[in-house]
Amino acid sequence: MGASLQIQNLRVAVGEQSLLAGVNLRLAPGEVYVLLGPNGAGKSTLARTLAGDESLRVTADKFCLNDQDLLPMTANERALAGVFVSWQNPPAITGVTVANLIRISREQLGLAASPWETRRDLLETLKVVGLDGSYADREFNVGFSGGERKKLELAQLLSLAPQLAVLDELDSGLDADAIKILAENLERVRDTQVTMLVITHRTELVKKLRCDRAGVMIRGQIVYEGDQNVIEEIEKDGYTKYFSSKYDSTADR
Amino acid sequence: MTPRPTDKLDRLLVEELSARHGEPDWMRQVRLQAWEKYQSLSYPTWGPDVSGLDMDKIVPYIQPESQMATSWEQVPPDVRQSFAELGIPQAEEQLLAGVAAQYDSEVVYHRTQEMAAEQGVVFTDLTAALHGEYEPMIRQYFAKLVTPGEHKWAALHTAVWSGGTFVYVPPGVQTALPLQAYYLLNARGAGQFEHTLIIVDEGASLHFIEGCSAPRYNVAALHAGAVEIFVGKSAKIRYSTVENWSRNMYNLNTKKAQAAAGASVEWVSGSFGSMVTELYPATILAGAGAKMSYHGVTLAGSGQNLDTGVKVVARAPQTACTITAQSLADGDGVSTFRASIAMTPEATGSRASIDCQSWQLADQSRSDSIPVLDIRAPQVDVGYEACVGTLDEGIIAYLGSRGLEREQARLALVNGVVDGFAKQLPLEYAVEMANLVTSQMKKANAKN
Repeated sequence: MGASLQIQNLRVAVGEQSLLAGVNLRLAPGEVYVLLGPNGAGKSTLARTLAGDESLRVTADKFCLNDQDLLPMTANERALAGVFVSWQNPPAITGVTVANLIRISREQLGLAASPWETRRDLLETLKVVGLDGSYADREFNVGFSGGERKKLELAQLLSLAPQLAVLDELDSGLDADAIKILAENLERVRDTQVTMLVITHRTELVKKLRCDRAGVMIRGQIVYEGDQNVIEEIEKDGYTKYFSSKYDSTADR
Repeated sequence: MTPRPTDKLDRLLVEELSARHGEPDWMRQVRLQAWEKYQSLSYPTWGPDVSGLDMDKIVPYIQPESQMATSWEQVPPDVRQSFAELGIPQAEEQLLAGVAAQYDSEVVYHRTQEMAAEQGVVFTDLTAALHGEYEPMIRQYFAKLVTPGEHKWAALHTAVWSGGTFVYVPPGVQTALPLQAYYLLNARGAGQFEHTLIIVDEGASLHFIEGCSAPRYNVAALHAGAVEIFVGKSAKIRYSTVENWSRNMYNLNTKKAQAAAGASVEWVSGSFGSMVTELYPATILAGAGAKMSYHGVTLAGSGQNLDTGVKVVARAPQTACTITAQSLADGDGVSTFRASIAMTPEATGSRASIDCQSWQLADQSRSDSIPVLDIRAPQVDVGYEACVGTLDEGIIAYLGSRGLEREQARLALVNGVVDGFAKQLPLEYAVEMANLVTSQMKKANAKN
């Protein structure tokens, strides 16, 4: 079952530079929310903030998963609370195999099974996301293409059974076939009632994914929220209109 | 019978050790000459500080209560328990062709599995071998590689050595399972000076594993062992060490191998324990086409200064050596890796590659890589690569987002670094390695 997310007046900065300028967002349990926005709007900053990136200076009136305040929690505490964030640029980790990392993560999250079951589940998951079984014993992301790294992020989402999945541009670097596989898998995750925040600046994926609501982020704020039609409008007209003062409170009037 | 420490380091002790073991006169002479050398040599002026080692307080010989046994039942329960805690008897059953176990100054257990014995493999304690048919062979080879003149610790070792192992693998014999010697130094403030002499005859092969540990006391202890390995034409040896001395130990050990034409020497070396270590396995590539490889990992935690490395002297054509080292320092530990490669004019067409990765795991730690290349041969190919790294905070953050606590994430990364080394060991030892790394990281962080 998914968790609710409540964010009120979230402000994030690095040094003197403001990255998020008062984000408000509420997700109901099991809701799929697509967050769109042009490059540099602050979408990935929101993902990093939810992940617990310690390099960010964060304040908020409310920042809760269910009724649990996320602000004082470290990254791993948030993961244990049920937050999964797929990284836009997941790192390569020398000497640590895919199988080992996913096994350790599952153990940490209380999902430990017998070694045989863990292995079997992983091989199935890799197959589902379009990676063959040999990837299980390869070093994590070492020598992987951008697309393969994204597939491995998806495999972790499927393996780690979170309550809130924050997917930061999981569709970037994927070809058309891979995006189709991604959309199918996200539909499966959706069916398990996981709450999802899908961040992207492209529309190919979200056109294939049934979303409950969509929002547009401009200059560190969510300036508009609507239904799936927002995605079609953006595909047709781009983001230009959202920079106007009608939507963006920081725009010149 | 209670242990009888022989606590004064002097010429009389050297004489007494020789007499106690009923040694042939030539060995007595070797000891006495080495004692003179020890007196005349100065302490090395480089490397870690060993001023905390007060030789007047080191007990150089402690006879254990036990006589040498060939079954664990014959070993006194407390000694047996010490080895059982290290998993030695269990490992012997499953994956070793023979085991030697030294407790303080003498070997207390020695057994060779039937299969290895039937192949003619000789695996016995060195003192006993001095009284048997291999005495002429020992005389031919003893202290010929690790000579007393090499440095002060080698001289001391040769003068007061006790215990250790003699291995002879006859021509053409391929030993299927490894032999293992385990050294446990139990007595307070003691010195251990075991001597390992291995001769692998033409075309034969051997994997020898050495393990070391000691309980911790609040006074300094000294390990100054020596290993001499003679590898015949086209013969092979892999010498693996997992060293986990306690943090009061000065580990000043000397290891040297000589490879004949077409022979191969592999060193696999893991250094985790001790307060101070100086350990640089050396190989003389004496015959054409001889090869050496070294794969080592050193992890120095808080309060440790581990100075490790490798030496190679190539003095024949077409030799090859490959060195890969991981040198890690955590807490306020210091880890130094030294690589010394010398090629004489005869080493035409030889190759050497050195790849050293140093890791500084904490702000206060220090990790250095020091190469010395002395190349006097034409048409050689010598490569040296070194890099220094820290643990990537971005990766630690990523692992955090996957549920790992910071220390777990650091440990996973360090285990990843060490993993390549562990893969060279039998499975049980790879598990021991992982446990040692975990324990080491915990100790380092406990002091941070």
